[in-house]
Amino acid sequence: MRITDFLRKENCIAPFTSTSKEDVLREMCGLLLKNGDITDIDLTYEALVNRERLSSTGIGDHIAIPHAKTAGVSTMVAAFGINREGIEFYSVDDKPVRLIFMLMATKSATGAHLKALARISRLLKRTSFRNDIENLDDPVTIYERIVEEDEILG
Amino acid sequence: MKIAIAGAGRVGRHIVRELSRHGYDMVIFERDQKVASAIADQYDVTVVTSDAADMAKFKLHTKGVDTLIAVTESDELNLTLSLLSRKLGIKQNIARIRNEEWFSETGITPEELGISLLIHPERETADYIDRVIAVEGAFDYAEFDSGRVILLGINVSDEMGIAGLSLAELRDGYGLTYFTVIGVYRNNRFIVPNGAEIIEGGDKIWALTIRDLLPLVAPIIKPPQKNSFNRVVIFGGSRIGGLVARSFLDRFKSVTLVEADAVKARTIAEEIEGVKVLHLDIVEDLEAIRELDLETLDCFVAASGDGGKNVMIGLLAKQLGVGKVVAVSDESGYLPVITAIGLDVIADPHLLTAAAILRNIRKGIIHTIVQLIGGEVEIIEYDVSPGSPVAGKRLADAGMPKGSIVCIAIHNGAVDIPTGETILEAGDKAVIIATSSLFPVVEKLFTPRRGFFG
Repeated sequence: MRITDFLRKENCIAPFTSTSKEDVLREMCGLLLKNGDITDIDLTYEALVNRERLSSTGIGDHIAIPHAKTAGVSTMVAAFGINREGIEFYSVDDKPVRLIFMLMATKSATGAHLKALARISRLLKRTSFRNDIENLDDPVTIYERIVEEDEILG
Repeated sequence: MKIAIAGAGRVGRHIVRELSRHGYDMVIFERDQKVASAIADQYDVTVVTSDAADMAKFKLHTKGVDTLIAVTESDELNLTLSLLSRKLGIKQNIARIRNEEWFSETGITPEELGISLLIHPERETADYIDRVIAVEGAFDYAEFDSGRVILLGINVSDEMGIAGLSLAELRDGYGLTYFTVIGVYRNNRFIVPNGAEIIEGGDKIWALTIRDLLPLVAPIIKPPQKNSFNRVVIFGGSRIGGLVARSFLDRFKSVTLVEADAVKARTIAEEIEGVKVLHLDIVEDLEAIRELDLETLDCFVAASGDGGKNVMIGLLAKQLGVGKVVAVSDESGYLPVITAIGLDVIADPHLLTAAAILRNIRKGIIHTIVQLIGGEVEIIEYDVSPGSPVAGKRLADAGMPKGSIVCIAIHNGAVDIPTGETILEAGDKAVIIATSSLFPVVEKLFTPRRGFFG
């Protein structure tokens, strides 16, 4: 599975403008709605917030991978947001989050959802990639850089 | 495949037991007459009652052997046998070496000597302790698929977010597809759960996750009101104690090691910078334990050379309020009892050594074997071999016995959660949980039918 199987360049945003965790989740859901990738913004947002209540998906090193399953999507879709300033995400290491990779899947997606999350985590673990991408602010360039790194992951 | 095992001490016997369950052809060298005949009575294996150092006999009885496992009491003999085995054309050789200085001080590498694998019991144990401690809230830890898949044992408390939720809700509602609960222990009963099972406070659960996604799982299973680890005390300046202290420096803000022997204490203090070493005999002088402020301690590791004392001091530490207690002990036969009375983790150097060796018997179809609840339930990782009954069939039609579950399938290196529709293909791996009594049936399904294909 490739990142490009579920992420489109239209769904990359930099910098995101929200300054709180709830707002940025809504902002990114809004982007997915605008691009026709989700059908119901409220359902999608609620599912994400519900998941965050269980525990924060801020996994440290300025990264968050908010994810949930919902009837608000018909296939697996993702959005990617960057903001160098960072926002409070209640991450494990208490560091502000600068990179947000959001993944939404249908209720029945199991294996594919797992594989996609593993792929995202492997991508974001690469320090050189993180350092590069934090400084980009054009969705097209960001997407190209992701595609390039996706290739390296094999 | 034929395997020679030199030395039938605890490690050797454990390996014999595991491999014989899976039908390996084995020859065992053991000089103690009593031990040798006990093994010959119990297992369908060839036992040679001689010192493995009797080279003529060794040579004679290792004809056709593919793998040598040298686990005698003597490092020197294990090394010698490994060297000899190469000359005899044995392809793989695994040696247990206690004294790591053989290699670290000489700069000689095992590869140079033609040794496939060296196992250092103390290092295996210290590494295991480090991995178990790394996941807060886990009382059990094991690895599958060469470490890519991780099994965690978790004590569920009412305050945890997952308490009160069903497995289906977790998977399909919260999207925790990377947290597969495969076993629940409740009211002294083990349950292989289905999606409707609701996790309750007080349960012990076992869940599989993948290493890449451990950062998402860690906060879910973190015990409530606990911040990240701050203070750890290690009891015993043994080799294991020293190795653990060193690796803990990255994890804990404060690492204290307690050692009763003045000379040992001083040596460790000089060798490991950053570790606070106290010269205290907390076994003789139980009052001295108060100096350690155990009430506010996050973690206590009892790693002295005496397993009995480790268990005792560990229990005391737990009683005094330490968050997580690990004891190094070879007495893991008492494991269910020991964990029931309060210890979080027992690290058994013999079992960990045997497990490390078994992991490396690569030619087989079996990789990791993990026993839960004192062996009642097992989790085994299999290779799907070409020509085995499961290969190429839908899981629903593969004839898996009722009560056994394929928890994870690994296809082209990617982890998948199988359903009845999943088809296991030759070259895949599968992680299966079942009560031990079902495994002979499972085993057959994964073994190639030689009558037709070989």
